[in-house]
Amino acid sequence: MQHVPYNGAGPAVTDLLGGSIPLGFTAVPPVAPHIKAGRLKAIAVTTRFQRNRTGVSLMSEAKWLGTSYPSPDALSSEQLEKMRLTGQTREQYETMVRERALRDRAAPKVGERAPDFEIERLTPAGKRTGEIFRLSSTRGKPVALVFGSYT
Amino acid sequence: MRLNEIYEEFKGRVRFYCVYIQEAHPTDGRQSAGNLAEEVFYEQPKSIEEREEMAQVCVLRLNLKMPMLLDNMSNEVDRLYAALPDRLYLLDENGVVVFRTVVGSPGFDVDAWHVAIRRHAGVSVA
Repeated sequence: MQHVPYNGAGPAVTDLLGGSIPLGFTAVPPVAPHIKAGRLKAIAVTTRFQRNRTGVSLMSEAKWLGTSYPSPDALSSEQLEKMRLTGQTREQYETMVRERALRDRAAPKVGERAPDFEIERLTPAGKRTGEIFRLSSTRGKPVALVFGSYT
Repeated sequence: MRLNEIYEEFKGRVRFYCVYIQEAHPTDGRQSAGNLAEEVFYEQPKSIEEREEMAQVCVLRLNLKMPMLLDNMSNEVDRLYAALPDRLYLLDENGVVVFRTVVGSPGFDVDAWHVAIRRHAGVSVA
């Protein structure tokens, strides 16, 4: 696919309607009236939020680097504002998503056996018990895992 | 709290574990806008004792009910499951993954996990 950069959605939509480019990526507002009128065909949207508004399927398989993160060129104004607040640069954002995509390659996928592990159990109050938990000791019942931290 | 509700609903049929992993957004790491707004300022624990303290803060503040486990300081389980910053999995009776959320913070999809648990536990999804 050849990338054709446009100076805004206006000229891109004009060329789409004129047939000089076969496909475009834009925000929803500039193309919505043309989709409704049948002049353009919507193939997919890239966010969960817009699925309900447009009736178009979620582009779940085409997220950036196979993660749930948007491409650095598709960050919402809300995400850009969060990055400004925390001082995260575009390069740092890209590095973070690349790292996570790489880590995810080694993680077990649906249909694969979950790797065994042995770690310490905590009390209901979160104190260490000295007692070791082994994942493979739970066979015979489904296991729901929540991974996280306070921050 | 949503995680507690799901735990209470299915704890008779499914084993639940919360694995406390390394901090996702410590002050000396990748700070989040949410933490800045809520003034959640913690450094990344340097020892298992410090991580244990963070786990206690977490259990207390979020009032977590499910059994808790503590990842080791090599972050072994976090790495095995590409869990950072947070992630949800469901394994079947034989330890095979039947559901997982996508990697990264946008993937902490409790609703999708709940649906997967309901399906797997044989409860019809409304």
